[in-house]
Amino acid sequence: MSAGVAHQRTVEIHFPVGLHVRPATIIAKKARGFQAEVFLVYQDRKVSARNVFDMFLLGAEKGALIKLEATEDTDAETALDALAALFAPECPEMKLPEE
Amino acid sequence: MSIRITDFVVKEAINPGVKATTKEAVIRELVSSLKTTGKVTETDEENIVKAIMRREQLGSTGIGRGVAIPHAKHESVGKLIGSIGLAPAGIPFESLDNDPVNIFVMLLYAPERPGEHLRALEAVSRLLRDEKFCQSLLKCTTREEIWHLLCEADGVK
Repeated sequence: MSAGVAHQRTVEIHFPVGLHVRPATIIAKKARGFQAEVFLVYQDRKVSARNVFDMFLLGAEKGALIKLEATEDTDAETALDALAALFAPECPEMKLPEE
Repeated sequence: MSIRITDFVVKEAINPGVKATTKEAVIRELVSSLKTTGKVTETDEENIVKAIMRREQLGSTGIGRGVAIPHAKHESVGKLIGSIGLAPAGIPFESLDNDPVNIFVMLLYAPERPGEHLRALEAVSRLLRDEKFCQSLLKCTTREEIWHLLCEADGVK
């Protein structure tokens, strides 16, 4: 069972419209593939990267700095690497025509 | 600055009984509801349907738990508008969890006001992340019932 936060990373939002439907859905799909649960922390809110509804609650705009936290699990670092990569400005999975 | 779902959903465009059974048909039906209210012109209707379908081709807006948020930006829209459609039987929508969609929240926003889109998602999520709220919504059979439920949840008198 996952417990505690052992791994962290800080990323910046580069999506032009912020954390909206497409990026949130891609993030959730990716996050669901790991045993470790990754959370997004922004301002006073902490939400699971597996949950698109909760990610919308962050209202995170372009330029926002988000802390990624993974629970202790064998794949925690891999999960963080994979999710952090989605926030990189040159990430091919996110590079789609503007909505 | 947060907004409420009742700030942008066009009451008269709420559709408590979607008849469509496919993704494109439900999008057409919801855009048509907005046209009926005069918020979308006949000239723009097809263009808006195409814009929403193009967006769907980039990845489904079915975000799971029976909810989809088909949307597009469009130059004919002065400010954010939305409509809601209910399909209790469910419509296949290639959702995140592969479940059919029962609740559609369609959003149209102005290209120069992308911030409104993010605020709208926040407003939609505040209500629809609550499964009990979704169950109550799906029990509604009239536009008035849906509007009343939205107002109640939004704290609007």
